[in-house]
Amino acid sequence: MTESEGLRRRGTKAEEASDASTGDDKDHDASTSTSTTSEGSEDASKKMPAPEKVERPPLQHRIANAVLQRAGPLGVVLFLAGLIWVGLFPLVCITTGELKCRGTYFSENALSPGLGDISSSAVSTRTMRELEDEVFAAALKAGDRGRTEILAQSLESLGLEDVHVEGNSHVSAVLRPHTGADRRDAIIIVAQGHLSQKVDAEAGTQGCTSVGIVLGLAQALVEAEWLSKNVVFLFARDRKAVRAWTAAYHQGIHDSKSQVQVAHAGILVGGLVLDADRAPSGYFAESIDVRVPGANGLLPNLDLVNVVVHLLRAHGGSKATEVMHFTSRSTAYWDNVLKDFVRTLGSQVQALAPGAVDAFALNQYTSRMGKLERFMQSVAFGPTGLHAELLPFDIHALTLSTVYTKDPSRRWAAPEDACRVMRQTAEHTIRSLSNLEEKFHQSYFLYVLPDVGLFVSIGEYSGSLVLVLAPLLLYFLRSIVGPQGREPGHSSESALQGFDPVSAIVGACAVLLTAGCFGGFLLSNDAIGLRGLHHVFLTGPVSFLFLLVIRRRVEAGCPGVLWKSVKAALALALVVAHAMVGMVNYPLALISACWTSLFYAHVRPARSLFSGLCFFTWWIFVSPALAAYALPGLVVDREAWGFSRESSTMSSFAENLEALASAYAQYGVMHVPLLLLVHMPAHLVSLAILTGVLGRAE
Amino acid sequence: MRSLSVLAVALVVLAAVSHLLGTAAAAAAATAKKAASAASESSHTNNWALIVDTSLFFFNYRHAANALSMYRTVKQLGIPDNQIILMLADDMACHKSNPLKAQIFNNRNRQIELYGDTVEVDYRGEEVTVENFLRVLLGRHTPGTPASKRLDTNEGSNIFIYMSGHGGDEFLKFQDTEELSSQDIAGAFEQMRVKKRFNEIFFAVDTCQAATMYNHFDTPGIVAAGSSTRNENSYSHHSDGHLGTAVIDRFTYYMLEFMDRRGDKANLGDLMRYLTPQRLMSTAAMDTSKFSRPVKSVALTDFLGSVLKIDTTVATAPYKPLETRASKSTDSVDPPKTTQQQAQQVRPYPIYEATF
Repeated sequence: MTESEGLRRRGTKAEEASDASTGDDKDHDASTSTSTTSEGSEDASKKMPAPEKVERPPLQHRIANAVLQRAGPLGVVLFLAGLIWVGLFPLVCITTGELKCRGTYFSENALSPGLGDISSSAVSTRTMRELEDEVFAAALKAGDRGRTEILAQSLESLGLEDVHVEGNSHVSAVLRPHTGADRRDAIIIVAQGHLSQKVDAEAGTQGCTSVGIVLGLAQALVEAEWLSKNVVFLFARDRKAVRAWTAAYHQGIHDSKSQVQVAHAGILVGGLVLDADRAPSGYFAESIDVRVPGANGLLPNLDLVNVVVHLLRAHGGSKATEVMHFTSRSTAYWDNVLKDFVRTLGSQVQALAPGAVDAFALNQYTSRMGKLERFMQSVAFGPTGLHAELLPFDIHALTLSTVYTKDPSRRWAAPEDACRVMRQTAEHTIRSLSNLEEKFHQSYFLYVLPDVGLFVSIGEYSGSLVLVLAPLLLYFLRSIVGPQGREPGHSSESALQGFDPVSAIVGACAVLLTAGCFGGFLLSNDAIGLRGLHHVFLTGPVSFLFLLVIRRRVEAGCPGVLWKSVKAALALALVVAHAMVGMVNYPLALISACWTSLFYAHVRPARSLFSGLCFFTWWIFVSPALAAYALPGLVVDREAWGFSRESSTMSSFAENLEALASAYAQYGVMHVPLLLLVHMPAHLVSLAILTGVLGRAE
Repeated sequence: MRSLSVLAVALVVLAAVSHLLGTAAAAAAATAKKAASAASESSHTNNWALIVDTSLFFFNYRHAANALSMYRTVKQLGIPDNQIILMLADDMACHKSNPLKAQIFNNRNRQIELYGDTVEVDYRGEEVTVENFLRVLLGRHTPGTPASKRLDTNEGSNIFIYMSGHGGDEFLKFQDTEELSSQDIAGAFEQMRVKKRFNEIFFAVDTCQAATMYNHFDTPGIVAAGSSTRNENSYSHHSDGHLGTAVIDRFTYYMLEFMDRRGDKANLGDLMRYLTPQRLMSTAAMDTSKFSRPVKSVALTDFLGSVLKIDTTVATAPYKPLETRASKSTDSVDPPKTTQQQAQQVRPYPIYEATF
């Protein structure tokens, strides 16, 4: 007997009981009513009982019944529909009914990208190179901490104020505009890296580094009459330096906790991180990568992205930019898999219906789908650059990074031109932000991008997540309502035959207990940093034991429903958890839901060895441990997560776990709580269901 | 011979009759033409202008430049400053982002500085609100409002109302915080008609979906023009790289260019033909359904220029010298006076009311 049949059968029994009680009531009513009439009519009523009035259930009840009776297959259909919807993102917008992907709108009036002249057109790449060479050469003579000191002197000689040096970690300076500007707001420009002597020992010969670009920018901006906001220049060695500076900037001026000297220049409304290296001989600039997502799905306002992309294209042509161009091996692998799949699908359709698929449209779709996949991956497994340190402080920022290649066919420009384009884009962006007197308000920060100039908003993508979670939601609804529960004439008791609240509470307690054990680990600062997280698996047996003990008591009172009730509670918990994650980080919630939704909706006690093996294989596939093992291959910036940058291969499991704990401690990435508080308990509870600990299938 | 003389006399008589008939016909034609001309001419006695820039922020520099360009033009065409109400929502000239401090230009060649010493801004900054705009139209001011901030029009006034800013379907944004709806302004014009505050109005608005601003006009005597129709944007003409922003909008730019080329001969019909979609990148529209005169005969100077007609009241009493007032001091008992005589006593000399 299947699970639904079991539910139906129990419902039928209850139905009969309910009918009997209803019939008694009717007889009683009839006798009561006939007592006031004549005997003759009483006899007649005995001979000819009044025909039972059969009332047809309302349409919505019949539809609900039909849906809940087919919850299993319908869940699979909706799950696939959700995936197809994601695949349609680059083609149509279903919620608005448009047969195209929606184009981004940004306030060209307010931001006026590229309308104004810029001063740095007079500053050539050679000048920037000379500026940085001067600093680097002088620093070599000065010793280990010389580069930051020499850099500070250069900034002061350019006319910048409030120059602060923090060891060899970072240098900051403020450019205050001419008299007449209110100076309440500021724009931040971060030059990434190149403060260490060792880094530039192997530097290439072409182009210049981010230090040279920002020095050239500062030189040009000193003379700018149009500047109306302060500009903060920060030369930071690494991510930690940016974090320390940003935290100190946003602490109170008189806060004694702050060890870092900063000059306050007003509210930081926006910024850019410039990440440029010199290119070795024989390399070409392939593009300038616009790195958008921060940690935990944080994104800057789309207006800023559009302005930067618009300016990059204006200065460097349409090939100048890529939004999230990854070069890591794992990403390229998934990219190729996706492209192959789409191309194969297209060729199959072409073979079945020649002429149905336009080759150009197919290529365009493949390209957009690849970009969408890369962008979603970068949002799900960010951060993607140093700007991630600015986003949590509501500073809209992104990272521009030069991408070099040896392949002449992928050449976009010479490295010198790439530096020029980056500097001009940065200055024009500053000019746009300087003109902006209001906060970014015309656009939003919840989006995914299939291509430059196109976007999918939260109104569109949230629907696909709901569909992917539909199997779990339908299971939960069927469990608490039951397909027969809405039939008329049944008491409410019969509706809950497939669901036992006590069992559900026990299941929820089990889930919470397991989650609490992991949560305790997360909150324990001492545990973080310990090599390996093996001890956390002690919580699994604990909760397993708990369920085993409870089972005997619950099964005695209401046999056969414990595992269903626990599973219903688990389904609800998973839906709620994914919905919450999806509000912040949609791609992560989608990937997580795609990975686990069908399994948890269909898991049940094994009835045979074959089904047991199948479910156990599936159970291993959805294991959080497997996810923790695969995660390093998916993250965009391995170094930011604490994984070793050099090797793209998988590290040992223990090292991965340690890196995850470190990433959680540093950024609070929600992958760790999602794995430990949601997937790990769910996985253990599902094992209990699968092995029959919570009761066997009927 | 006699017959010849009779023939000659007859010819002379015929010629005389035909001459007389011709003269009469010509006179009749001239009279009719004169009458038609009189019907197409404006009967206004004075001109006023209300010029409004409704936009905040430096990136809306062009809206201030639009308004100041119109201000400069109507001043050049003779409307005195005390009959121009100028409303500027932001101080672009001294804005922190303006690299050319205390100056406003409407062209990147920067030949005409619009913000010279003679500019009198009547409402500026936070004073430019929907409430104040409607107060100006209706003449309902708070006590103490100076005359320079009042639109002291009468039933002989032709008013040019020009507005520039950001708008949408049946609204115009003021100060980035509030909106003037088409119903608001239609209601205000109707009240102005009831209060006899105008003779004719030329309402020109340069904004997106501008034509929707006069959707609800139902007051006779108003001709309305907009830079774009429903669902259309209005566009800027060009930008100044040094300023980093656009400096003038297309509708205003070509309107000024048209007036510059045609001068006094410009009329509304020609203006609308000049504002082609190729020039504006949008469709300029004009509503003349509430206007009695054909637009071809409506000179732009009927609204943008100045008329200095002097209307005299009917002198109901003969001029009496000032001695009359002196004679009043006598103790002589006069017979009861009529109202007319009382008026003569108060105003012993003829009154000439001049309106500008």
